[in-house]
Formats: sequence, C-alpha cells, structure tokens
Amino acid sequence: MITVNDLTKKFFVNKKSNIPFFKKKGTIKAVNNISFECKPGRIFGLIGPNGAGKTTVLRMLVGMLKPTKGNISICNIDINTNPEEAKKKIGFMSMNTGLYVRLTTNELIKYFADLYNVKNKDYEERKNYLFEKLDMNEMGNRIISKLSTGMQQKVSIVRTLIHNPDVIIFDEATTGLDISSSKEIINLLQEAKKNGKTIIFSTHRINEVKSLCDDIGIMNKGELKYVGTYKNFLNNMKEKIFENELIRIIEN
Amino acid sequence: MNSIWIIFKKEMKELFRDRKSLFTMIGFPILILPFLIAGGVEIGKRIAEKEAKKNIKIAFINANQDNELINFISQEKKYHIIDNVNESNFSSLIQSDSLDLVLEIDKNYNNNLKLNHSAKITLHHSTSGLDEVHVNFTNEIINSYEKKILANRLKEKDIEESLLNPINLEKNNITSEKEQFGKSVGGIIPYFILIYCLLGAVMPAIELGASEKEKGTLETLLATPSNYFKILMGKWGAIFSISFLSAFAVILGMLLGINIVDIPPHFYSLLSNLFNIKTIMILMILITPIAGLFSAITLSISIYSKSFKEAQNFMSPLMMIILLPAIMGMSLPLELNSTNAIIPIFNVVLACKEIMSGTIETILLLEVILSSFALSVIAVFFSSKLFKKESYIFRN
Repeated sequence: MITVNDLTKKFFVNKKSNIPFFKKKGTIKAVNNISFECKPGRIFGLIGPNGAGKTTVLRMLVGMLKPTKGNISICNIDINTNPEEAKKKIGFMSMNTGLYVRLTTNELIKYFADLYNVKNKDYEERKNYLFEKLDMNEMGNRIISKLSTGMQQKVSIVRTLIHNPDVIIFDEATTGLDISSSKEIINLLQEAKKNGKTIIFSTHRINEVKSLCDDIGIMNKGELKYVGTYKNFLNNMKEKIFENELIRIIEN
Repeated sequence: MNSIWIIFKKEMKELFRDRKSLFTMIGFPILILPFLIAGGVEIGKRIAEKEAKKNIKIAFINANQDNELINFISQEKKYHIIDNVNESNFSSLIQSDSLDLVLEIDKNYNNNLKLNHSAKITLHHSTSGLDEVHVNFTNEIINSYEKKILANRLKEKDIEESLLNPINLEKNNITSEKEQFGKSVGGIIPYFILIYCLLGAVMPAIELGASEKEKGTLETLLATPSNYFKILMGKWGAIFSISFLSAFAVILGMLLGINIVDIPPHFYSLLSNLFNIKTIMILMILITPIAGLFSAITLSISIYSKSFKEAQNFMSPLMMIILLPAIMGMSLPLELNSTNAIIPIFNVVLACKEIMSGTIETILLLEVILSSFALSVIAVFFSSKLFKKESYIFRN
C-alpha cells in the first residue's frame, strides 16, 4: 500500500542574472501538491509527457529524494522518518537502471539480496523461482557485460524482485525493450498483482496502460491532472479515442 | 551482514576484475620501478666511465712565455695538447669541438713573474652543463701551479707559508653517509609513493562515483535499505584499499629493483639500509591516513561530478594541488619541525626524509600521523555530507 498526501517537491536552480558571470538562485516546483493511493493487488499507472514530474514522484516514493512538503507512507511506514524500514518493502527499477557489468548474474543478484538482508534459504528459493519464470537458468554464471540488452533487463528484474517486495515501483522500465522482453515484464507484473503486491509504474506505452492498469494518474507540469480507476476514466471520456482524451486532460 | 562490508566486498571484486586499471595502479609500479632503477644505475655507470676516459683537448697561445707551466700541465694524463693554435683560429676550433680549452698566456707574463707581479692567463672555453668539469679541473691545476710559484717567492724572501694562512680551517662532516643519502633519496621516494597513492585513488573513485551515476547503478543502490553513510563508507573503503596497495606497490617495486638490479656494492648497502623492515612499516603507517585523505577527496569530487569525463577534468587540477607540497617538501632543504609537521602532504615528505636518514623524532612522527589522520577523518565527514545532498547526487 502506498499513500501519498500533499506531495510537493521544489528544486533549486540557477537562473540568468543581469550581472555577467553571476547566476541567481531560484526554485522550480517539479511536483505540486499531489495526493493519491496505490492499493495492494492493483496496478497504478503514472502517465504524462516528458518533464511532467513522474520520475521525481517515483524517486520520492523510493526515498531517494526528500519531499519539500507532504508525506509518503509505504505499507504504513513513513519513508521520510523511517527510510531503511520502508525501503525494505520496495522493489525499484528505472529506465536508467544500470548493472555492474563485471559481475556474474549470480553475484549481482546475491549482492542485492544481501543488501536487502535476504536469508540464504529464501534467496535460493526466490532466485530459482524467478530464474524459472524468466527462463534464465543458463545465465547464472555468465558475466553481465556478455549478456544481450534483453537478458540484462531480465537480470534487472530479478535484482528488483529478489527480496519479494510488497511494493513494486517501475519507472519506464520497458522503454527501449523489444516486444518479448516487455511482455515478460508485463507478465511478471500481472503475477505480482495476483499475489497481492502494490504496483506503481510510469510508462509512455499506451498499450501497457490499457492492458495492465487498474488505476491511473495523469501528470503534467508537476500536477496530477487526473487520478482514479481506469474504468472510470474510460466511462467519462469526452473524446472517442483514449490517446486524444489523454492529450485533452494534459492540455487542460 | 553489515552493508558497509557487503558494498566494500562487491566494489573490490569489481575493481579487481578491471585488469587494465589494476595493472596501471598496482602492476605498473612493481614492474617499472626495477627497470627505472636498472636504467638509472646503467646511465650513471656509463657517464662515470665516459668521464674517466675522456681527454681534455687543450691548446696554448704564447706557450714560450712559461715552459714550466706547459710541462706542469702536460704531466696530467687527462690533457691532450693540440698544436698550431693561434689567436685567430682558437674560437672557431672551440666552437667546432676540435678544442675544449685554450690557455692564452699574456705577452708580458714572463716579465711580470720575474718582477714578482701578477701574471695574466686567460682560460678560453665554451661550456655548459657537464663540460664545466673541464674548466674546474684546469682551474685546480693552475691553482696548484700558482701555489708552487708563491711558495718559491716566499722562500726567496725567507717568509714562512704559515704567515699567509693564520687560520687553518679543517672541515669535519660528522653526518653519517646513511643520513646524507637518506636526506637526498628520502625526498624522491615519498614523491613516487604519493603520486601512486593518489593515482590509486583517482581511478576507483571515478569508477565508484561519477561512473555509477552515469550508468544508473548508483540510483539502484540508493533505493536499497542501506543508509547513505554506509554506502559511502563501503565505497571509500574500496578506494582506500586500492590507493594503499598502489603506494605499497611502489615500495615493493623499489625493493625488487634494489635486489634484482646489479647495483654497485657501496650503493647497494646504502639502499638496503634505507629499506629495512622498520622503515617500511613506518612508511606504511605514514601513508595510511594519506591514502584515506586522497580517497575521501577524490570520492567527493567524483560524487559531485555529473559524468566520468567531468570527474576526470576535475581530477587533473587536484593532482597539481596535491603534488605541489610534495615537490616543495622534496626539493626544499627543510627539516621537520612542530610547525611544518601539520602541513598536509608536505609533512609526509619531510617525515619520509627523516625516517630514511634515521633522524626522525618520535614526537614529530606522531604529530604527522595524528594530523594526517585528523584531516582524513574531516575529509570523510565532508564527503558523507556531500553524499547526502540530493542536489549533488542528482546534479544531472
């Protein structure tokens, strides 16, 4: 369960000043007073154009960025006051996620399992389960730099889910992937949903929103323009086509 | 398992798998220093042999003024006398290296000597660098000939030579050969150690900071339950270890060089005296906080940098800033005292000199070690503050 209340994030930026070589300090609001809830067993899709503030929201959910205002609760734990406990519940994967390419797949996954304090027995069970699911049994002892992009993405997924997190946060995790790799991620998310996990993901792929989401949030310029169930969204559309309705909401 | 240890182990594993960087940081000094020492010894030997064999081509103008002087000089085997040189051609002969020196004896030389006046001899030469040896050698020969003439004049006047030398100053240098050698060589060795200590920190720091930011791996690490200080300490520990190993590799390379290369016995005994177990242990204790300091500074820069390239750009001036006090400590004829013992890096070079010459005072050594440790702790603290600032971590 994720609960977000009155979340605001300001960034300090350098602005041009009238004095040459000097810059004025200023602030921009990357996220402006947003609230939403992601429930267990449901998938929440965060949609919006580039620069809408999606990544900033997700980074705050993971505890990487501190909100300027508002609070975030992960499974009833406040991420700002108790980040270490809250982070244990989260599996986070972003489009920028890189891997330690000089390690083998097994070494990398064990590294993250250790960081999440996963017991050896649970680690073996969980690893075998995920390897089986993603057809990775041959990959364990291979150096990551020798793996293809799709295979590396699979390693990333296993790394994200090795500690069996209650909350899964994916930031444009399918960007740049081929159809079969994206499909595997989608299948995994659907299975996680069945297992009662709370899932939030941001994406630019409308198909993924249509096939996966129970709830959606539409963001633009740091503001949440729409939040609610996907069903409600479809029922109240003023445009005939989903994409056009999205654009209409974003531009309003 | 503690996150610091987990992160440290993983970083070390990755760094040790980067064979090229590892060779530059640790393998290179172990391999190259014996070659450098062998090269230095060989060049030294050759120069000495060449100098011993080389003749000084000398010519005289107006030689008939003092046949005794010509005979006196001719007795020296180093001189090779060239004939048929006159006032008009000597300059071109010197410039074309057909001649090294010309002694032009004044036309009134003989008369002046007979009248017990000063007689003039002009030494023509064209020298720079090593050739100066020839001029000094000839100067000494003329001086000894002058002393002979003076002794005759005094004898004729029945004057004791001691009348002209009321004070006979005898110099007695009680500094041991080890101390003299340690003071000169002891400045160069820490310079090498510091360079490698810094190089050993720079590459891993860029890899574990800026490079991780660029690849996106830092983001995943920050999303784990490990707190930022523990992540930083794990990374710092790995950088420190490589920096320390690089410094140790320099000492190992020197030890190998001394024992493999055919060094003249006298130098060998002096060098092996410098590199005894006790000295090496003290050097490693001295270098420990410096490795810690370099690791913290380079990691801070790396964390601040947006990319691998930007980090490299920031590191270049840092190397200049850090090596400047090392060069000063190496070249200035200063001794370690309670004031300069707290000047970072400079104090380490001075302390190394004293350690190698066996004249270090324990209290000053402790001051150097403690001040370096304090600085290292401050640098780590600063680094941890920087690491917690999201405006630096997410600068890009």
